[in-house]
Amino acid sequence: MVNQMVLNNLGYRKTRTALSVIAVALEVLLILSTVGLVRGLVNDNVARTKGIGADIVVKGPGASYIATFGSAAMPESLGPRLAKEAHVAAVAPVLMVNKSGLTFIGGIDDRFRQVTGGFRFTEGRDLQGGLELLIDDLYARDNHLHAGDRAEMLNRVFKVVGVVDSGKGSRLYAPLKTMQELNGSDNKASVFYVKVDDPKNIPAVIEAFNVLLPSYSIHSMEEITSLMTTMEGYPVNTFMVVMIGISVSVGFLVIFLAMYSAVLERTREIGILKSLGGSSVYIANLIMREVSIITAIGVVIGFGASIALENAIQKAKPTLTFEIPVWWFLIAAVIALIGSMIGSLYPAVKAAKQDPIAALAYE
Amino acid sequence: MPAIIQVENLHKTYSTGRVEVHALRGVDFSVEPGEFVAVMGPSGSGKSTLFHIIGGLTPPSSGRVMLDGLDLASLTDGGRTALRKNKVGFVFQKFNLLPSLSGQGNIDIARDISGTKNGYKPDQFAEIVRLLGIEGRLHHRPAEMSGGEQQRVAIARALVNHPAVLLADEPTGNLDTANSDAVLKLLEDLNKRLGQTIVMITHNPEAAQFAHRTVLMRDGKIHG
Ligand SMILES: Nc1ncnc2c1ncn2[C@@H]1O[C@H](COP(=O)(O)OP(=O)(O)O)[C@@H](O)[C@H]1O
Ligand SMILES: [Mg+2]
Repeated sequence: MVNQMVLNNLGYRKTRTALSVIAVALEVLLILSTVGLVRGLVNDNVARTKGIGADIVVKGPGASYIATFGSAAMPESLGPRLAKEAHVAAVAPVLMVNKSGLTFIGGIDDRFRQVTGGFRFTEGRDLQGGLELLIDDLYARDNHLHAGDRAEMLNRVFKVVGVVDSGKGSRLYAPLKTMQELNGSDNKASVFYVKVDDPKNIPAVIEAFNVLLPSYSIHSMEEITSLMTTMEGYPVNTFMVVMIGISVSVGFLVIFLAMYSAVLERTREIGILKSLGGSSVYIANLIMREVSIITAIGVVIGFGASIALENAIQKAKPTLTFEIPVWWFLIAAVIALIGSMIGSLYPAVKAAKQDPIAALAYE
Repeated sequence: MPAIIQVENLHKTYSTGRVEVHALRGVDFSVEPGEFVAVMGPSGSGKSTLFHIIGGLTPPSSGRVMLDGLDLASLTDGGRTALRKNKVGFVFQKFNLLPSLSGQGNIDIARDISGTKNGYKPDQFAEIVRLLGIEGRLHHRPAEMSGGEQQRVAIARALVNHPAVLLADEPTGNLDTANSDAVLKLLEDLNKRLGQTIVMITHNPEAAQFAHRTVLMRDGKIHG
């Protein structure tokens, strides 16, 4: 009977109910798409960084060691020097040149292939020199490029010579020499990828490197990727928290307003229920139930919209990795529910405290 | 038999903002079990306030109020809620049915709130519904019923938990003569057949004729 009344109340103001549901759905969609984007970005970065196959990453002083790119350029000659240390199998200098936005071109030479074990080609051949470009399969699909096509970047026309499997740091690769020339950084590298003969020697090599290059950023790949996974120190982590905060505020405000106006217009009904012996808890419970139903429907719609968005993005833009971790559906639902409950708290208390006479006596 | 309602020197002062309204100024009033009492008096004389206190909708300011052995002055908010649940049934001038529920729904929710411990058995209640002549109307929403039907559903709802006292505040104030007579006749019947104690506020001397006796209120006091 109580449920009947709650449902009838929801049906009575269809627009208000629909708007509340949409607000909760948007809240959930916003949370999940933010998380999906951030997690996708991070996981993709982690996967591609791991895929390089290096054991140690060396960057210039002050460089961020969790970003895949670093701006501080080091002399390329450090590479051979590092390679002389005991247990070092290979050292690959790479010059990261920003193409636009978050897209970088990795300037590489043969030593990169030694560290990574080489590319897997789906089209074309490897780099030989000059204005040649290797692209990964996702970039190729995203930009409709194939081996043999021309691509303009950095104010030059490059020839796409091959398409490779994604997952080795960059999405775009060009000869190291070409990048150094175009970038005006002759004999410079932004990162050294180091392969060690046996994983158990990694700590010893790092120690040796630290003696050689104090104040440089020298970290094992394992350390870097685990830091990336926890997202500690990532600016996107803060971004995610802020976005979730904004989403919850929107849900909270809409629920608050909807239930506040509902309580105001139901003064009489609340008075009647009280005259029948309905306690404060009983009245507050009615409001909470109504909000729970709105939130539950909103959450389900939000889930559907998020999954639809995930599929649409994966189809339309494969390079924009978008992954919503499954447990985040649960977290988003709990966040939305808590937001709604807090939003309906004041209206519920107001309803529970209402003086029944005010509603019944004055007609 | 002790009185079912015993009111002594009851005062009630409403303070709305800076103004104090002395709605009741020393009311003495008692009702025996099984009585049907009419309360008359001019508008603003405190009749409804007296009902609201007896029915536990608002606490007294001072004085003694006993209802079916319960001392209302000592009740907390929760105690008054329990009193409304179990001891009294209200019938209002404006019917006050929940618009979103059917007639049956209105009755069920009263039973649901009370918890059905001391209510009428289903067959006994079916008898009351038959007496009220609303068997065929209970699946309708209030908006689909006439005023007389709504008030009869409201009476059924007020009785479902078998209250010690039925408090009716101008139950015929919104009804035409035919429906008024029908409702008054029903109250008289319920009082006779079930021994239901009824206190009814009315403006209409003819309505008061249906009661065993009439008390008069004026300026927050009872006169005879
Ligand atoms: N909730 C309230 N707050 C303030 N004043 C009230 C309230 N209820 C009634 N009054 C005042 O108390 C007096 C008695 O009112 P009421 O008991 O409704 O009289 P009656 O039912 O006899 O018309 C009136 O002056 C009325 O304005
Ligand atoms: Mg009145």
